[in-house]
Amino acid sequence: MSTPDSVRGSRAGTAGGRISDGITRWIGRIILAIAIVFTVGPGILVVLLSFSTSQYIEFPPTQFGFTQYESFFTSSTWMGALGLSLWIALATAVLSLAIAIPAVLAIQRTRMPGRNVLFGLGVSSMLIPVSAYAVALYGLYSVTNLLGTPFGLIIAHTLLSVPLVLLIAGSALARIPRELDLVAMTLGASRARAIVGITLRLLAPALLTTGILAFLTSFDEAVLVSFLGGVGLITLPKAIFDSVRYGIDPSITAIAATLIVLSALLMLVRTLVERKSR
Amino acid sequence: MTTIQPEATQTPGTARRGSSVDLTAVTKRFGTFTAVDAIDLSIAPGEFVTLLGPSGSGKTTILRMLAGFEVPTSGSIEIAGREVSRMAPAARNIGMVFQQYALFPHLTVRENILYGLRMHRWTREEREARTTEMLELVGLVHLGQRRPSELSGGQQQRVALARALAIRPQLLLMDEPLGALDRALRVDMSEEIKRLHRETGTTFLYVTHDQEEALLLSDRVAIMREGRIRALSTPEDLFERPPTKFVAEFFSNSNVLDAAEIATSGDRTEIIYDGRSVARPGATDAAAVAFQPHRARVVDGTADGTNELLITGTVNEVLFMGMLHQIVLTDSTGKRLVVRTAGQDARRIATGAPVTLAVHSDDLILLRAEA
Repeated sequence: MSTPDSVRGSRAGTAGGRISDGITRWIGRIILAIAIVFTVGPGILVVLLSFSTSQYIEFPPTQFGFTQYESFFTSSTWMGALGLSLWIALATAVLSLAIAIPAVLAIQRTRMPGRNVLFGLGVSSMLIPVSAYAVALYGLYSVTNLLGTPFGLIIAHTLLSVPLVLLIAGSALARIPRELDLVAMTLGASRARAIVGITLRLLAPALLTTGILAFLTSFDEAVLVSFLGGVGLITLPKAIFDSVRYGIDPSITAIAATLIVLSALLMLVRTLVERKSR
Repeated sequence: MTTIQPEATQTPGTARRGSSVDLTAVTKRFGTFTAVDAIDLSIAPGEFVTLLGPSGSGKTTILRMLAGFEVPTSGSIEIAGREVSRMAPAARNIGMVFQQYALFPHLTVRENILYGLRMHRWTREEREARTTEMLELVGLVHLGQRRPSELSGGQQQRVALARALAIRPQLLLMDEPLGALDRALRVDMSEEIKRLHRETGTTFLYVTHDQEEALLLSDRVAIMREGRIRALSTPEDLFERPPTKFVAEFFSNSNVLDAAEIATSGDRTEIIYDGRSVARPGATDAAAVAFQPHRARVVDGTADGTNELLITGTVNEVLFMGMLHQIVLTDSTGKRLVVRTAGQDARRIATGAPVTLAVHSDDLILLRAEA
């Protein structure tokens, strides 16, 4: 990074200023390096490992091939877990949005009594530790016969995702002036049409983001499913946990690599949509 | 009333008059707070009426009830003789312009104007022709494909006006439309709004807290305070002959002499202020007296004072304003007065010097007690 002397001079004219400038720059670089090593590093490592043909997880890999992917994609256990996870995550995303979008509109755009209480309750699940939540839900589900059902798990995951939608969509909605809806109504739009055509249209990028986050929250969730899944309900994170517990199956490296690429693709889609809507 | 036609059968290009507006005993309460207190107001078709008042005086609430964003607690609102208080905004055939423009950010300028025409189911050719016509009207044809964020504040407000007027509303509501613009632009836009009013013939209802805008634009001004209309008349009338102390100070820039005594005997009224008096014909029940800054003359203390009220004081400040001088003084009762004079003498008046003012008895405005 070369800073023109004139600029640097004007910002920190003294020798002391220049030295502290240099120190700050180095601290910045070190933090950046640490961040890369610990966030991107493991991802690269697991992708490398996933192309190893070894029976065990070993580093560095000695031979490269697609063995892990083969065993992942041909295993009915893994595929069943993946399918279950995908549809539970999708259902969670849809349900979270279906609950939180009207809630956010009601909280911010109406004088509905109790709207602040509703918001507080909506985000409260963020404040309770997941394991504590899991125990409590276990008690509730055993009474209501929801243990081991996909429906029960979807509700539990939705409880985790709704706060995300409330907060992200809520802050996006707060930036959309109310006058836009009002003007649309004076121009001949019904209330519903103004909300859908103007406010929700402008909210769409935020809703996509938050939908993806809700999806990933569920897709990645391993604690609640351990408590509530019973024996039959094995999502992908649960399956990975189980496989690690009973000895290392190297095909989990292929699974991990697939998950990383999938999430990255989802976030890429989001970025592209956001850029296009600008 | 037959002024409302189905929108689909309207032919673009036909001039249509604005509609009348009648508010009868309209009250709006929010909880225990009365925002609008039993207001009566009748606006003639094509008239330009301004609601002027300090913030919290209820002017915006009236506008919102006319637009259909709020339902009155009681009373009736008629547009073109049709009761609308519970009608949806979309069915009222009105236009609305906000202070912050409220343009749809995801649509181009053209698409913004097209929006209302689409909602009113105009045919494609009619929509396109009308949009071009509106862009020509506000001089922005060359910016039709831009996004609102690429326009200046003045241009955005022109688009908002074009969008509101495109659907040929019978009534255009404006909520402080010049509030976000700087001073020079405000005067330009005032001219533009006045021209649009003349060319469309639509009834305009304008809300502002700016006295100058109300003077420039309106056929009539309703001065509001604490949820009520305190005075309603032409700007000239309210400026020259404010009826009450509030109007005198808030709208007419007048000096109110609270300490004046007003005594009527027979058909003569005597006004006594600070030991000096002046008489004028006619009886009155006025409670206070006022005069406008440009109605006072600076005289030397020995002027004869026939039919003039003399006021003595000490000069606080002399401000040169180009066309005239503004003299701020404290009179001998301790009241702060503002005088404007075009005379060259003003240059010789020094800060801290004694000064004598003369106000002709005809220029003294008699104010009635506050309602």
